[in-house]
Amino acid sequence: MTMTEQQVEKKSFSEALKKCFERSALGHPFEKFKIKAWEAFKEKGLPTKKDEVFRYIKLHYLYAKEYSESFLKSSLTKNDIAGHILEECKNSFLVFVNGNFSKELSNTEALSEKIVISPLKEAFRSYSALLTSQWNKIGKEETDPFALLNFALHDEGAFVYIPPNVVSDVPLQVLNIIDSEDALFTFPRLQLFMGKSSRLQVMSTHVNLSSNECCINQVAEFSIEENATLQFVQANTHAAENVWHFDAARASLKRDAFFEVAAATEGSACVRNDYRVVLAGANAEASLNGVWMLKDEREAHNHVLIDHQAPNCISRQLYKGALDDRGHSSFEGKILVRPEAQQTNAFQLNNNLLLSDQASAESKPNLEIFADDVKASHGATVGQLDREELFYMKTRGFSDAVAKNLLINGFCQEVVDKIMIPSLHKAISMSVRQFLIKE
Amino acid sequence: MLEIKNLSASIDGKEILKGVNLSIKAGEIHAIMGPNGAGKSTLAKILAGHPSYEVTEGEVFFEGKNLLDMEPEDRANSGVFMSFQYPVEIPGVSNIEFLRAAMNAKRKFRGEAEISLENFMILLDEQMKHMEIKEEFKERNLNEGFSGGEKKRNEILQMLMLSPMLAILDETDSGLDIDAMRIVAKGVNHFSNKDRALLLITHYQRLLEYVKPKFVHVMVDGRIVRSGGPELALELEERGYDWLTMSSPYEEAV
Repeated sequence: MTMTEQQVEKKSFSEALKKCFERSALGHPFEKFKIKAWEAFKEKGLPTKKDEVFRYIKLHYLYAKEYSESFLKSSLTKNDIAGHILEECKNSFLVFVNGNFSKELSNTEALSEKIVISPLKEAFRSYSALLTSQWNKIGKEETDPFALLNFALHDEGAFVYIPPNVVSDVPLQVLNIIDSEDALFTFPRLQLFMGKSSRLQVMSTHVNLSSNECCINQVAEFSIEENATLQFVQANTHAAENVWHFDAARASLKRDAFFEVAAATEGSACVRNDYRVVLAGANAEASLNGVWMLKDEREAHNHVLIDHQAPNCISRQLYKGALDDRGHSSFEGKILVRPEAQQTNAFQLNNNLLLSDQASAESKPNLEIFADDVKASHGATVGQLDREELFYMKTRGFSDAVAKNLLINGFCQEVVDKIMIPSLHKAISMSVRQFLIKE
Repeated sequence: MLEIKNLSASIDGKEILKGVNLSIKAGEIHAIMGPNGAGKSTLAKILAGHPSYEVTEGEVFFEGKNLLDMEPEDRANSGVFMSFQYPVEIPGVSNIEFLRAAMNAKRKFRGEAEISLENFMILLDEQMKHMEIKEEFKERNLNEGFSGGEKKRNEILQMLMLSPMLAILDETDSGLDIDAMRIVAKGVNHFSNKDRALLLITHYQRLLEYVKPKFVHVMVDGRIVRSGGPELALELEERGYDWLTMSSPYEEAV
């Protein structure tokens, strides 16, 4: 039997990954775990459209690409990155260059001295038990092929440990920089541990200093102890059209812990946000929020799993998409309520606004409930701007584009307002407000 | 100021207006009354530029310009205002932000500079006082969670702020309690002067006790069937609309 063009491309993409794995895993301090992740990945194989959770993603375009992975040290200096640091995080930011954590470029002066931040390899020497218990789950709980690849192929991640009772008033920015002449495949990885009753805000932002295309395959793993609070913002705006971005967040919450996500993206060839949130302790609460604003042929995909394992937990998902031109999005959210998770309160909503005949949005809510005392609701809508609202705005003197922008802004605001950092909130609000004004 | 000539219009192929004639001069207040379904609100929406209606015949001139050729926003910026029967709620846009942006859209259209924040606030405070609207409504989202009466008062506030030449009030009096009616009427009377014109569309003559029209027109089945002075409103209040519906005499509008 002869192979199709697409099969040939997928095979060579897969072989390139294998070479990358061999170079990065052998001799690496996490070799044992990396092999485990690679084996788990191999067992699943590169996903195709036939895999349920990837069916809306045009993966064959990704597999046709040839990326190189980079171990080169970047020549960037602190001055080069200053313009990309949020004003609230002037002395509290972590920098990843081409997927690897750079301690030299990072600055954590404004953070409490008690907070531990180090390269992941270095952390493995002092926090080996903590990390080992986390990584033992690889291949069991972690089943997403791209998240597995991230572990198998990453070189240097970042480790953050917030000791118990440390409440940080200063937010932490995680800046991911691409700076390369080559089309890169990068694997940024963040391991963050929140001790009991600790509190932190983390903002993940991106900048591509080269005009080259790239694929970012990113994972953030959060372990949130009792009564701790973590707010996580993922700002993924201004990405080039040809960028592929897999962004996975994993969170495990103990009793009374709180985890909130606010993600905003303007899409690219593909921005895929994948979440797995485990509510492992009673009274834990997770709030996941996302907004996408897509133009041209940009895509954004969200995949959420909320795993209710303990009683009295709350989970909320609010996802809003505004799509123009040939924009394409999908939302797939699953609420899993296990038998022991009595008195669960779970809510899920995905609203999509189509601004052109050619834009399309898929929405697939999913409930799996095994407990009997549960309050759960889900909803999905795909609609257009309300004609009467638009007419009202125009009768007050607003042009078609401005009137639409104001309405789109109103539609997105509930999610945008979850971004607590003023400068980032302002920047994202501006993007929303100018969505339809083509410059 | 406004000249409506033999205006016919339909929606989804159904004819609603069947040859409306009406002429309004600066300084005049006109009222159009009529039973439900007569086409009163349709006329208001067509004048404001609602996209759902198709004008099948006739012309409308506003200050000598062909109104029907203009986009709704251009009509607004040229000085036509319509107060909605059902003002829509717009989340994510505060009342104050909306008003300022609308004023500046009009100024931009006319090639004027934006209004300074200071002057805007002075003007807003004054007009809000007229409409007895509480301070907190400035920051609230446009019409969101407002009661029926609050929405209508907010419409009149917009009218006062945008200062149009012609204001069309579509059933602004419906659903108002006596206090809200008094406040709305106060705003309307405050607005009215010799350079401006008002077109009141109403089912009842209640509002007309507070705002005195110069002319009253009765619309039945898409036509103005009778025109007269304020006494016509009282006659309608007494006799209802049936006597007009039955005979349907056609009279040229004033």
